[in-house]
Parts: sequence; structure tokens; C-alpha cells
Amino acid sequence: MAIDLREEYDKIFRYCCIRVHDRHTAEDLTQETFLRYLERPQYHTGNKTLRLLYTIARNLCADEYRRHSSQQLPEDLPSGADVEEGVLESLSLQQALSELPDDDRELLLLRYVNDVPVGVISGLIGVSRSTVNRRLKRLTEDLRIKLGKEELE
Amino acid sequence: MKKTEKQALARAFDLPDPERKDEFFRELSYKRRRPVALIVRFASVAAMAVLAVGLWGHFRGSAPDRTPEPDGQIVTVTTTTAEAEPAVTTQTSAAGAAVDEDPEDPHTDVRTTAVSTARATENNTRHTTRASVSPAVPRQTAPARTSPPARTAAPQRTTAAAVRTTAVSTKVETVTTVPATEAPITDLTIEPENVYEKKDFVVDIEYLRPRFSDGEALPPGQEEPVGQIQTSPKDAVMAAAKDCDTAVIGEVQNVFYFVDSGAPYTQIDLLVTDPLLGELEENYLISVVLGGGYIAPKDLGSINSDDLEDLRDEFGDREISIRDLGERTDEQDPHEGDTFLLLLNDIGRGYCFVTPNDEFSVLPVDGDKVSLKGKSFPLDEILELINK
Repeated sequence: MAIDLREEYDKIFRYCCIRVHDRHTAEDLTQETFLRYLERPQYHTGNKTLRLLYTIARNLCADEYRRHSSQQLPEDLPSGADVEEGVLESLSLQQALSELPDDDRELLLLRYVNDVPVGVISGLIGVSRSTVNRRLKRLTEDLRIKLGKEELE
Repeated sequence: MKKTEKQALARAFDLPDPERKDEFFRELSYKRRRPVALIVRFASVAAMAVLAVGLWGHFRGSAPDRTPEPDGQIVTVTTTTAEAEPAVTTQTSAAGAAVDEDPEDPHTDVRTTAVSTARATENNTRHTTRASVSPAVPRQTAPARTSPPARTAAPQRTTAAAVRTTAVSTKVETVTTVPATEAPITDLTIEPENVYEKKDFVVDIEYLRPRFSDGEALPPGQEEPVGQIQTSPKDAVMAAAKDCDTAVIGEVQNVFYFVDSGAPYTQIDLLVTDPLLGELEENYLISVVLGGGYIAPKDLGSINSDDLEDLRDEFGDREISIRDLGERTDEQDPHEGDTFLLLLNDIGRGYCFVTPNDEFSVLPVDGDKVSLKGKSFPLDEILELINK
């Protein structure tokens, strides 16, 4: 499975954004991810490629979080804390998403925005494929119920 | 999820676009171009060197190629000379292994050594040298049955029908030998039903089931704890030996896969070479059914829609087979030409033989050893267990 590195750059950037909540840090981590990825040509085949990219990005984000755990990460991106619950009568999809825990948002982004195969996600977060599928199914159903619509829009 | 829903989700995440992407890839391409230029330079130098060596070799004359064959390879040289000379086939081992040759003997029994694996036989290099003035001598080769190679480094015996062709003045006489008479094969095999053809691309069942029995995921690298008391392989074989009424060593002739009630099975046709226990005799061809095998994903009873979706995500529309060997391990997955010691139950003529326990009843024979669960035991020890 050949991948388009430029396209993956956008996806990894989005992934880093959702994990570190800062676009500049996210872009630094994205570039570091690709530099480290290119140092490992033995993994540039099949699903190993995506798995490696996301694993590097995830580890870098975790390192970044640990490094700044004592400090407050600058947040220029929306997160769950930004939403005042119950203020708005009707929830938009964006608001519904922002209410979700980070892990669930990450899962939705990986699967439905970045189109990462379930097998890669399961390896990345260390659960079985069935668990990933169950969580995705539950999440989308919850979102539909919250929005009161049959389709997310 | 529909495409429109995915687009809505992407918009809802409201994530920014990267700002330094073009700059990054520009720098990256510059950095990566430099090694390429170096590689091109090295490649051109190497090409020149190869050209020079080639030209030197060409003008040096056509010296015979004395390059030694890799160790263990057999070189067969067939030399056909002019009239009145018999064609002589000589087999030598490249490593100088002992080769017995007797072109006058119609039954030439060529014993070779240094055959490391089954594949080695197929990869033999054959150089055929034929005199340019050789007349068109009719050649006839008797059908020769070659014993399939053993999977070990043990000496291998190849029975070859010698071909002796004699041409006398205008009369051409062909003398063809007939291979030694073999005992007839008693065919007790059963025609398999619902045969499934294994696809080239195989996915192991573990791919779908890295989880505990209750459906929860297994942590990476961790195995589900086993509640059973672990017994040594030898004890387990002894237990299986007590439960069986038939034991044979034989060679797998055919392998079929079939499905029954959503579960895969393997049926093998086994030519008995050493009857050890029971009523079977040498050269009986029997059918044995083993639990587990290869199956189409859609036919797998335990598969669910999520699993099928996973497989589609991962492999697209590619045709795949799921491999579920049940209790057996990879080494207990039979292939044509493999030799196994099987502990069996005879459930009557007209039926396939079955095993009391696939896990410890299907024992790959490796020369004079039997391998099981990554360990190997002397075959004699196992035979002793069976005879007890």
C-alpha cells in the first residue's frame, strides 16, 4: 500500500493537533514524525507505514504532554472544556464532539476523518479490532442521539 | 458511515491546515536528492568497472567455466556422442560428494549425499552438453517413480531408470529398462466433499481474535492464561498413543480443505510407508480428517460483520483464506510430500480415519526424529511409546 506522504502530512498534523491542542507544536511534532519515519525505510511497506507514522506521532505527542505536564499547554484549539453545557438548546455536531473525551475524539478522527484502517487503529491504541468497532459504533450512535438526527451533519 | 457524515465530522473537528508543509517537503526533497546524486555517481563507476571486466573476459578467450556450484548442489551432465556410443548420464555432487555410477547396469541406483532440503532437489543445476554432430537418436525414457525428498539433511535415495541408447551403424536400437516392480497401492481414500480451494493470500485466525474468550482485548504481547494443567509433549503423545487404535508413518499425497457447519477441516491422503499399529499395511492409501484448515471468511461460522468489515478495510476486495488450524501448529499443517507419524482411530471402512487429538496425534517426522511444539524427539522413543 503506497501512501502519499503529503496527504499523510495533513492527517498526522490533524492527529497531533487533537492530541496537543496547539497548532504550532502539532506542526513541529508532525515534521519530527516524518523525519523519524524516513529514517526507517524497512517499515515502508504495507500497513507498517501507517502504523509506524501514527505510532511515532502518538509517542511524540505523549512525550510532549509529559514534558509540559507541570506547565499548562497552550490551547488555541477547541476542547471539551470550552463548551458550557446546557447553555445552548440545540447542540451542533461540533459542540457534541467537543464534549467527548479526548480518547473518543481521537478514535473518531482516526477512523472517519483520517480514514485509518481499523487494524492500524487497534494496533495503535492496543485493543482488538472488535473493540475498536464496538467503540466506533457506540460513539456514532451516541452522537446521532445527542443531535436528534439519523445522520451526522 | 456515509461519506457526507465523514465530511460533516471533518468540518466539525474544525482543525487548522498546516502552515509549513510546502517548506518542509522542499527541504526534504533537497536533502534526499543529494544521496541520489552520489548513488548515480557510484552506479556509473560500477557500470564502467563491469564493462571493463566483461570486455577483458571476452577478449581473453572462451575458457571453460570452472565456477564451482554452490555446496550441496547436484550437477547432472548428459553427454551424447556420435554413433555407437551410449548416452551416459552422470550425476555428481558439486561438493565432491560420493556418487556411485554404473552405466552398464540397467538398474542404476544413484546414491547422492549433501541434499539439504526438499527444495534443493528442485534447484539442481543441470548442464546439458550435446555433441553438434550427434544424430537424431530416438530416446525413450521409462517412467520412473522418484521418492519425494525427505525434509532433512539425511542421505536421500533416488531411484532413476537408466537410459541406455545404442546406435549400431544404420540400425538404431533402443534399450529401455523398466523400474523395479513396486507393490500395488491399496486405495482406501474417500472422495472429499465441498472442497475449498485455498487462496494465495492467507490471513491467520489470530488476526481476528486477539482477545480474551469473553471478547475483551488482550493487551499487546500478552497471551491468555491457560487454565489447563500443562503436560509435557511426550506425556501428551503417550496419552494419544493409548487412545489410538492405528498408528502409521506415511507420506502426504494430497491435501484438501473443506468446510462443515462453519468450521474448516483438512483431509489428507496418506500413503502408508510404515504401519506401526492396527490393520493397515504398507502402500495403503488412506484418508485422514484433521480439525482446522483454510476457509473463506464468509463461511467462517464465528465471524461477525465487524470482522468482515475489518478484513475489507485491510485487504479490500482481495480474495483471502482464513487459516484456522485449530489445535495444530504450523509444523502440523500438512503439505504434499510431507512425512507424518499419525496416531489414528479407525472408524470403519468407507470413512476417513480420525485422530484422537489433533494436537498430539499429528507428528511431523524429520529424518529419525519427530518434532512437536518446537521440540524434537527420537522417533524410536515415540515408537516405544506406541508399542507400550
